[in-house]
Amino acid sequence: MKEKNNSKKWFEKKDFSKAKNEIEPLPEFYKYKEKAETLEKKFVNIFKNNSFIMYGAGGGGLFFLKAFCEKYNLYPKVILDKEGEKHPNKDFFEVHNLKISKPENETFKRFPQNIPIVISIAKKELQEEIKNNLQLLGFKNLYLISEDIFDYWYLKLWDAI
Amino acid sequence: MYIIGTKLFHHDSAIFILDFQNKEIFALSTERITRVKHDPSFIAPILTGINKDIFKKAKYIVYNPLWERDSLVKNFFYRYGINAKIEKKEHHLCHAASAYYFSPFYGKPTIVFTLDGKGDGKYGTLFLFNKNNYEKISFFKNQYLDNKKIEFYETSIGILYLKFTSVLGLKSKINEKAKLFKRESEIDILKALGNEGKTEALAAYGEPDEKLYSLLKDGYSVDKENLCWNHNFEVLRKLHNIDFLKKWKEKVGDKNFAATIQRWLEDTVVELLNIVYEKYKIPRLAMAGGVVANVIMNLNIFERTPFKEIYIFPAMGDDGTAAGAAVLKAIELGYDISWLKEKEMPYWGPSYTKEEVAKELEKERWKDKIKYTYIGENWQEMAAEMIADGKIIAVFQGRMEFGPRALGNRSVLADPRDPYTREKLNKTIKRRPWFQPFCPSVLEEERERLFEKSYKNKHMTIAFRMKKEFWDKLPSAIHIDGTARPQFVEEKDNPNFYRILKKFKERTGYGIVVNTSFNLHGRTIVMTPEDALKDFIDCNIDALFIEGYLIERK
Repeated sequence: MKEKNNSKKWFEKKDFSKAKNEIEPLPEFYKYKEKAETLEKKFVNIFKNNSFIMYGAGGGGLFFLKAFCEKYNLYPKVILDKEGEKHPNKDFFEVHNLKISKPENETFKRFPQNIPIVISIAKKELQEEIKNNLQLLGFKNLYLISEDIFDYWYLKLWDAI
Repeated sequence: MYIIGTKLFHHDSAIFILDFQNKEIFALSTERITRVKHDPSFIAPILTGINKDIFKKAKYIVYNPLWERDSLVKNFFYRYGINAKIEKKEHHLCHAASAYYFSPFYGKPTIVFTLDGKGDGKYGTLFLFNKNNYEKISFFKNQYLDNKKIEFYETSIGILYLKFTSVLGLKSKINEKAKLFKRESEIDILKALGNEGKTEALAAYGEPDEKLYSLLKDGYSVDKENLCWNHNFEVLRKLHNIDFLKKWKEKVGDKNFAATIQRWLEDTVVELLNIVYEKYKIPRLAMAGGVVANVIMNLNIFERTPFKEIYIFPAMGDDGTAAGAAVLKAIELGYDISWLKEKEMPYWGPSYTKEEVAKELEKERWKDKIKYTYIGENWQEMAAEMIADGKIIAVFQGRMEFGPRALGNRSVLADPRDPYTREKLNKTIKRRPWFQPFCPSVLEEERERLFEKSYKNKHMTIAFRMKKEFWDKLPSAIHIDGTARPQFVEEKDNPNFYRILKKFKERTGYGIVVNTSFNLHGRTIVMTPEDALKDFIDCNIDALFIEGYLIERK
C-alpha cells in the first residue's frame, strides 16, 4: 500500500553542525560536561609545566591519549602497563614517540615520587588496585579519571555531542 | 505513543520509531543523512532532524548492543534534550525479533536464525519464536583467537567472510571517524565491510579449492547436540591470519578463492539448519544479520533444507536491530503488534511532497544544469517507454526504503533485454566490478513464467534460478550462473512501480526491469530531492522521475 507523504511529521533533514547547537540539552548533560571540562582544565594546569606519567595503555589509555594528550599537545614522559612494550596498542603511542614500559622497569622507579601519574584505566576496580600499588611504592600525586569522563571523551571524539 | 529502537552507533547506526496510535513506522539509518556507506557515527544527525514531539511522547528508547555503557547512552540522549526511559537489548535478540515480528509467520512457531560479524559476544543465534514468546536454542560464541584481543582476530564466520573479501581487495572508503582506535590492519579489514556481496558475485566464476575448503571444514564443525559450531582454534588461528589467506589467494586465484569461502558458507549453514529442522520439524525460518544478505546462501537454504517458508528481514544488517529493539519493548509493554506484518514493504523513510520537490527544483543552483516538466499522474507510462527505448532512468517517489535494497522508490531502472545494460549502468552511475550483476524487479504474475522454483519474495533478499529459456532474452537481469535476486512486485506493494512494470510488459512482453539503487558510486541511496538532483547531475542517467516531474539534463 502506498504510504502517505507525511515526512515532516517525522523528520526534516538539517545541517548537523548547525542544528545540534540549536538543541537545548537537559540540565543533566551540563553537569556531565562541566565535570569533564573541569578535569581537563585541572590536568592542563598541572601537566603544562610538569612531566607526568600515564598508567594504562588499554582502552582508557587510548581515550586519554586521543581526547586529552592530542587535544592539548601534552604527552607523558612514559606509559606504564603490565604488558610493557609488547602491548597490542603500542602502535597508537609510537606515533607520538611514546614507549610503553612495564611498571617493574627500573627507569620508572627512578622517577621522583612526586611526579604526577594519571591512572588511565576505565575500570573502577582496577583503578583502585593500581592506585594502592603505586601508593605502596611511594608515589603521591595520583590522578584517577571516572568512567563518565571516559564516556564524555568518547562521545566528543565521535563528534556525537 | 511512540517506542523508539536504535542501533546507537558503529556501522549501520539507525533509528526505528513505532507509532502505536496511528499504526505507523518511521525508520532511518545515519548513512542516508551523511551519505557515508555504513556510517559508524552515533545517530546524532538523525536526532537533530526528528520531530521533537516524537521524543516528548516517546515512552522508551531501546538501544543495542548491550555493551554500550549506561551513563554514556543517557548523557548522549540528554545532549539532545531527550528524557525518555532508556533500556537496552541484546544485539542478536534484536536481529531475531526483526526477522520474526515483521514476517508473515507471526503467531506461528518459527525457527529464527541470525548470523553476522559480531554483537554482544556472539556471531549468531538460533531461536524458537512463537507469537510473543521466544526461547534461545543456541548461540555462536565469538571469541578472540589470542589474548591480545585484536579486533577481527576472532572466531566469527561473518568476520572470516569479511577477511576473504578484504584479501580479495574488495574495499571501499570509510569514514575517518571509523579509524579511531583502530590499527592499520583492522582498518584494512574494515574497508571490506559492505563489499561481501562482491565476493559472493565473484564466486560464481570459480570453483572451490578442495584443500582450502577442507581446512575451513576443519576449522568449524557443526555441534549436532548443541546446534552451533565448534571452533578448532589451531586451524582458526591460521584461517583468520591475513597473510595466510593472501598466500591461499595467490595459490588458487581470486575466483576460486571466492568460490571456496562461498561454497563452504552455504554448506556449513545448510548442514546446521538441516539438523535444526530434524530436531524441531518446523517448516518456517526467519533470518536476519549481515551474513544473511548473502542471497546465494539463502537460495541454498531454500533448495537444500526442508524450510519451505523463508523470510529475511529487508534491513537484515545492523540497521534492522533498531526495529527489533523497538518491537521487543512494545511486546513487553503489552502492545498489540499484529499490524506490523501488514507493513510488508520497508518504505519507512522520509518522503517529499510535490510542492517540496518544486521548491527544490526552482533553486538557482540547478538552473544551468537541468530542465524539468511536470507530467503529472501518468509519469509511470513515460518511464516505462523510456526504459523500453534503452534509456537508463532514475525514480524517486514516496517514502525511502529502510535497508540496503532500493525497491522502486529510490531506484535506477534499465532494460534487462539489452546485453549492454550492465556496462551502461557501470559507465553511467555504478562503477561496479565487472563480475557484479544487477538485479531485477519482476511482476509477481511473471514469477512462475520466468523463474524455476521460487516464492513471493518482495525484498531482493534471496536469489532464484531463472528458467534457461530466458537467459539470452533477459541477459542483464541474471548472473553468470543463471541466478537473479528479484523483487516480485504486486500492485498493492507499490502501485506506481507496478504500473511501470506493467507498461514495460505491454511494450516488450516481459514484466521485468533491472533495478539498482539510486546512488552514485561510493555514495549511499539518495534520500532527499536535493540528493537526487546532485547524483543525477554527477552521472549520466538519461532522465529522473521525481514525484511526477521529469528531469533532464540541459
